[in-house]
Order: sequence, then C-alpha cells, then structure tokens
Amino acid sequence: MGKKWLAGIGGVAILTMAGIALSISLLSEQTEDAAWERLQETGVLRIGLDASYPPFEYVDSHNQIVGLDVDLATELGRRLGAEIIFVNMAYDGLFDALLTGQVDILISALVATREYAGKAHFSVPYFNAGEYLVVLDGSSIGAMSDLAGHTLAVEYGSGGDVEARRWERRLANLQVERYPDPGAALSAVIEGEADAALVDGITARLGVGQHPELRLGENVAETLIAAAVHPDSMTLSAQVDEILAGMIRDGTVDALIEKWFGPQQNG
Amino acid sequence: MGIWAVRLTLLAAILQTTAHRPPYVILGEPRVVETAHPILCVHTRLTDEVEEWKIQRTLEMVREMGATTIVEFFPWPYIEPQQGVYFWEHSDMIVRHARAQGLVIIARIGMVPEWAQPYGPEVDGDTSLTHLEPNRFWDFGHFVEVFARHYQNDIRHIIVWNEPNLAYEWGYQPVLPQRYVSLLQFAYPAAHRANPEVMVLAGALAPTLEPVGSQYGMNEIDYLTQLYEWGVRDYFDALAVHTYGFKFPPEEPPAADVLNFRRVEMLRDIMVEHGDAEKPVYITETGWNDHPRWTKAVRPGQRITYTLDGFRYAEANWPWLETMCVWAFRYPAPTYSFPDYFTLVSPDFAPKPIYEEIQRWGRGWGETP
Repeated sequence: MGKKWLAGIGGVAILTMAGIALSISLLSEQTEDAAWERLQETGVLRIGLDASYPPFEYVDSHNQIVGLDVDLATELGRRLGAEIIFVNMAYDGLFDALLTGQVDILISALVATREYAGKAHFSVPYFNAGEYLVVLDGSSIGAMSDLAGHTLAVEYGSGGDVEARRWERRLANLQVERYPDPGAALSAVIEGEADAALVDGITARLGVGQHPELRLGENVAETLIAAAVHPDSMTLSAQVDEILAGMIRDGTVDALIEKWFGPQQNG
Repeated sequence: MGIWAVRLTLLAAILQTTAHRPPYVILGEPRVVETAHPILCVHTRLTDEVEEWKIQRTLEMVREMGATTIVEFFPWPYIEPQQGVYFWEHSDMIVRHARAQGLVIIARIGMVPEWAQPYGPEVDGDTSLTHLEPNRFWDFGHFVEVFARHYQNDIRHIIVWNEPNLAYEWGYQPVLPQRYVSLLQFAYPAAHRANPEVMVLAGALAPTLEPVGSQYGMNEIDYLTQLYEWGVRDYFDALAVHTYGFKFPPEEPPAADVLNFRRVEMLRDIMVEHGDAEKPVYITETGWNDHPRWTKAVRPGQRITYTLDGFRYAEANWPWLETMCVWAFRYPAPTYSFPDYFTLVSPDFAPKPIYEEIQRWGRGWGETP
C-alpha cells in the first residue's frame, strides 16, 4: 500500500514538472531577442551610458567619451565582432531606453540587483563598488573584526557609516570618526588620525591607486556593478556573460581597473 | 479512482501548509508619540504598500523617529474605482494603524478614476490619471465630501490635489490658476459640509522656475499670486508647499530665480500681502537628496546636516509654519533612480543614518550635528 502510494505521488510530481518544463520551453521559443537579432543583421551594438561618472565614463578634454566602461564595451565589441556605438544619455533614462529598444545594452556602472527582474537582466558583475576596509600597508588590521580598540574613519551618512554603526554595537571600544567625504576618511588614515577607513569600492580603489602606502583590506559589503540587457535578450545576455567571464579570467578586467584606478595593493 | 482522489487531496493539503502566509498583525494598545520637536513630519507613501505588517512597521518607525504627523496619499481612483462604489479597506487599514501609533494624518486627495477621465476625439486618445476636466469637478468635490465624512473622527487635514502649478498634474493640460480655484470652490465647501472642523490645504505647490505661459507649468510665486487674483482666499484654510533644498544649505536666502529651502518665505509674503497672515503654512514635502549620480544631490553627510539645520531654521524663524514633512519615509519598492535617495529607510526597513540622526534630534536624545 505504502509503495503504491509513494509511486502515485511520484507520478503526479513527474507529470507536474514535465508540464512546467514544457511551458518554459514554449515561452522561450515565443520570446524574441530583438537586440541579438538586430546585432546579427547590422553588426552594430548600441551601448547606453551616462558619461558623467568618472572613472567609469566621462567626457574628456577632447570631447571624447572615455573610461573603464568605455574600454570594457570596446573590448566586448571586439570579441563579439560587433561595431560599438555609444549612446550618451542621462542616468534616469537608461533603463527606459533599454526597454524601448533605443539601446541594446547598458554599460554604465550600474548596480546589479535581483529586484529588477522583468525590467532588466544583469550580466556577470565586473566590479565591486561595495564597502572596503582601507589601511596603511603593513597594518595588522585586515578585517572589521580586527578593529576592537581602534579608530575607523567613514564618510558621514554613507554606506560605510551604515556598516560602522552596526560594528559599533558589536566591537568593544571601536571609535568611529565621521568625515564629510570619503577622501577625507582616507586622508585620516594616511595622516595617522585613524587606523582604517571604510569607504565605497570606487573611492577605495582610487585611493589605493593614488597612494602606494595604502592597501585594500576586507570587502565588508558588496555592491556589484554589471551590464544590463533587456529581459528578453537571453541570447545576447549569454554571449555577454561568456565574454565578460573570459575577460575576468584572462586578467583583462583587472588590467582595466589598474588603468583607470591605479595600481592596486590588496591585503 | 476514489483512492486517487484521496491521495491528491492529501497532497494538496500538504502543499498548502507550505504556502507563504503573511505575518499576523496585532494592532496593540494606542501609542503616544514622544517627541522634542512636534513640527517633525514625514511623507509615508503607503498607497501602494500591500502587506499590513509593512504598514504597521512603517508607522511604528515613524513614531519611534519622533514624528507627530504623516502625509499620506489617498488616490480617488483607488477608493472610488466605479462611480458611487467605494472601497475603503486599504485606506481604513492605513488610518487604523496611524491612529494606533498616535500619528496625525494629513490626507492628500487626487488623481482621477477612469470613469471620470475625459474620452472621445477631443482628447486625442488615452488620458492620464491626472486629467481632470471642469465638468468633473463636482464629482471630485463629492468624493472629498464622502472621504471627509468617512474619516471625520480620524482626519482633520485634507490637501486638495497636488502641485497644481505643473502641467503633469493636469494631464499635461495648460496650467490655469483659475481652474484650480474652481476646483477648490467645489472641494472646500464639500469638505466642510462633511466635517466643519476639517482644514482644507490648498496647493501643495511645486518648486519650479517655469515662466508664465510655459507648457510645463508655472513657477509657484506667480501661480499663488494669480490664485489670489482669481479669488482663492475664501476657499482654503492653510497653504501646502513643497520646498526642496537641492544643492543649497537651508540658510541660503530665497530669490525668484533660485530653487532652495527658504523659497517658501516668498510664498508667505504673498499670503500676507493678500490678508492671509492668520492662515498657517504646511510644508508637505521637503528634503535633500544624496544620490551619487544626480547633479542636484549633495553628499550624504550634507543631506543629514542640511535636513536638521532646515528643521532648526524653521522652528526658529517661521512661527507661521505648522509642520514640516520630509519626503519620503520609504518606498515599497526601489525606483532604481534618483528618488531612492530621498528616503530615510530602505524598502526592507533598514534605517539609513539620516533616519537615526533625525530620530536623535526628534526625540531629544542628545547632541546632533
């Protein structure tokens, strides 16, 4: 009786799963990847970005759009065999431009987030802009848990301040000093006013790149930067992911980070 | 066959026990706001918040912050989606929980249900949720009366419409001050018929530099002046104003060609010129933004200090100001753009440092920047 009952349950489950798989298959066949098809027809990939965010993308003194995202997109185009066109627009119009087919992909230091499902599909992340601990080279401090009895510099009101407030409740004698901007927090470490700074990944990498006496410590919070395609652009997405993963593996992304942020000393 | 029906029913029952259920919400005993600064108010934006526990948690955190008052939006189309048919469940939930937390509600009423939107060849296609034609002003006034009567024991402040000096708020129709006066001529007496104690707030004027005749709107200075010229004085009890700091500190002096926090003083001067010195002002939206990629934003630390300094400046210099409401407490879901950096609390209820600093000031818990 028991075996027959289990077999019956199993049968129902198998039928249900088969039905779901069939539905997904049918839906996939019905959804067009317009961006991929357009790329195949024209050989052109339109990149949407807001060129006002150095060092990712900005307009230089020669009126050219330059930056890490520009180089990343150019290399992506080369590996795809596509001609790249940059479409510069205000940040708050980027996702609308993607959804309405004015651009094929967004590469503009966008924060990847699960909650944007249905409005964009994010690629493999290529940068982490989340909070990093920054210390003097040679410091024994490498992680937040090492900060008991020490002084931590943060930008007042920032993501670093959010983390610092959490750690203030956990660590004995953690002194948190708040500064008006993240650069001032890094300066506090350089000048010996603080034992460590907790700043966003962009400031941290720029700081380490410009000051060889600093090095990166623990990555305390993640804010992953990725490209974005239309939610229906699954073929383009797969191609982009494969290329980006390759660029990460072969060191191309690290080289671009070094180019635009300076030499990186990691802890 | 019979045994299979039993098995399938049992399987369904087992699966049902694993289904998601929302947390059970208990209203609890009525609470009292403990505050050192009764002027503190915040815009809660619970209109699109579905889950009751999130509504309760939002209003708990508002009370815990030391805010005495909230501005909440009660869209006409949500409550009266069919003419004469009212759905009060969601708005009742918000009011019930606000009352339980001891909060005063300023209710903003606006938007247009589909049945009251214009249609036909003269409007050239679909109209928007904000398109209200004069032949529907009576319907709006009637709704205001029904609303005011339904909440006569709970809501004493009603904002009529929103940012009427912007074309967007009229369905992209030209901005005509006389049209808003006409709307108030229906809404004001209707509200007072339902509740003689109610305060009707006119305006919620938007800060803008648009000149008279612009297709996008009219600056609020000229707009308010024209409202008075069209006879608005007898049709409102208080003025609602939106005033944002953008990149300027709160003390920055007002000027006709600058959008800053103290711009509200220019509106106050117009009220006094027209004999309305006795009427109070309510700032129903204010604040600064700290988005890292917006040209009108400031650093996070500046956002905190400017906000607190703004409250201090208002308390010290504006005796005519009843309340100052920060935009916005929290959104149910992120916008993934600049507006997210106006909030005090994230969608998952994580308080930002600005919430904690406002709370420290609001509750009188020691020194603040």
